[in-house]
Amino acid sequence: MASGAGAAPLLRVEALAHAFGGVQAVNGVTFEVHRGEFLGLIGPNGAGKSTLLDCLSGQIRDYRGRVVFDGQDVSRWPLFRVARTGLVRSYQVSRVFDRLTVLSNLLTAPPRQRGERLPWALLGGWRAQERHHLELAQAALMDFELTPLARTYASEVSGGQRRLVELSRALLTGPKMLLLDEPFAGVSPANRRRLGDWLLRLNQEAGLTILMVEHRLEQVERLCSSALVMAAGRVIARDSMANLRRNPRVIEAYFGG
Amino acid sequence: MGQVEFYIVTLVILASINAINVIGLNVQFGTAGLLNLAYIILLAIGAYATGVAALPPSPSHGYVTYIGGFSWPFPWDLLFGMAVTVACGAVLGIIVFTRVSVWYLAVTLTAIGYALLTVINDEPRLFNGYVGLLNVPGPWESQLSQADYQLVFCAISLICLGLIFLLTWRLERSPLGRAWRAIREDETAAMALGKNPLLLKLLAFSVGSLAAGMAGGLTVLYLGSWNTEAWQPNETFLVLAAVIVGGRGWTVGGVVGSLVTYDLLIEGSKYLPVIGGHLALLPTIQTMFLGLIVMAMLWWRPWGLLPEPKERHRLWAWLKEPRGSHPTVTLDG
Repeated sequence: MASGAGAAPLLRVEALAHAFGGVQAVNGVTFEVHRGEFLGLIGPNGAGKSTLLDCLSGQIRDYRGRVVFDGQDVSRWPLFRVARTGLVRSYQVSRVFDRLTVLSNLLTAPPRQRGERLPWALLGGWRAQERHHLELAQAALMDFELTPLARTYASEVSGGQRRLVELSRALLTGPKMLLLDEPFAGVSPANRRRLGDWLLRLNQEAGLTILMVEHRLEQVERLCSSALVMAAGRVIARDSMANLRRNPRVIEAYFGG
Repeated sequence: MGQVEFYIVTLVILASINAINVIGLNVQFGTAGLLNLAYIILLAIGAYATGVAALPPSPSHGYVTYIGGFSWPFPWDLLFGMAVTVACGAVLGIIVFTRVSVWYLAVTLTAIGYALLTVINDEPRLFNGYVGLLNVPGPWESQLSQADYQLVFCAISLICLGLIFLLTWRLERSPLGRAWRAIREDETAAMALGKNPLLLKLLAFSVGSLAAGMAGGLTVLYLGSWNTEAWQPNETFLVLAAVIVGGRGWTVGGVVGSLVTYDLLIEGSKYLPVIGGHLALLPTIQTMFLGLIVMAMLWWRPWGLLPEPKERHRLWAWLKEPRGSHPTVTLDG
């Protein structure tokens, strides 16, 4: 928090609301995320956490309210345009390109690929850039010890590895901020710690801003400087985990009726 | 040229045209995942546009009337046909890709296919109804002997196949091809990486349309006629069967599929003995047989006889080396 105090926030959300039919899933949410912050987003099931993430990333577009990212009003932009501004998300159930190898999955990610434009793809002239992307992908594979799986179809790797492929792919887009939807889901208990360390390193060493939805509170406590608590579509508190555990409103939202 | 040689050259011509045709749908469906069940419409558009570019102006009173009639020589008639097909394909693509999700795409396109067929058949003032086009002149047809013309057309078909093969081969091995596959595998995940799905789909659709226009144009130039009988929407399923049998997602698979379905199964089955004098039985048996083969393929070899290969990189050489030397720890879910 201290690092971003005073400076303009990286992400500002104003009075965001979205209803599914008659159910108000997100009901007037306002908050800011500063550069370099690792913010948790917790709350009981059905609190609207995933819906909020869907709205922020542009997956859901018919919401009310405003989303300003990095000084740009990205409200109701489609998913791919939001992603291009550097606000990149992951999914609760990892989404990988099954019939692409792990390496090809990673190589899909870098933005502004020359070889994706028709004239360049046809006439060549994209290989120099591709070589650079290969180096980036190579580093990402090493980071996660995925190198031996580089040539394997993404459909053939384990659930935990799919998560790693998805996360390192998101990282290769060169994001300014990551929106993570339960990154520990599907990862074995023994490996949660390693994944957590990696996320912490990303935040502390690379200065990447992260908003993480997670219901494993011990992970939020370990990784996040503070957390937002949502209940029934609203943000009811924002504090450090230690304080939140003592907050009567939070206790009521989690354990009350 | 003897009868056997003539037959072989004809086979090569038709095989080339069919291969171009299958390559087109393979780019759309195989690589980019766009289940275009109105593919035959693109072929028909290419054929009609090529035909009217090659024909002289339409006589004011006559059996055959048509739009255009430019008397353009080869290759301008074919190029015109391809350009019109790509333009129509792009318009069709914009209509269906902006509003319709992948699973409705097939239904929408099928409906468009049948609707167009009905309109064309029943409104003769548009495209001359059932009769269509007749006597479309082929490339230098009037100046060549029948044998020479046959050989020239064979060369043209093979050159066209070579060009379209090179084009799609280059594209599908580029980052564009990778992005197409990403869209095919998971459109939402590709969007989450910043890929513009509409643009990517339109590109794939247009490249496929280019091949369809070429195949349609060559067909009308070779056969000399165009009518709705030859462009029934269910013809698309034959092309689709070829894509599935051969290997969807890459050009070589498309060519193999075309050879196996059109030339081995369809052409080959003509040599089967006629059963009890029922000539009409053959096409029915062909269709049933093809259906069985497609089902068997989807069951046992869902990616075809020659499945799409993995992307290859110079990095592979590097990847081999640290395999043993690196401590490999994996995350198991």
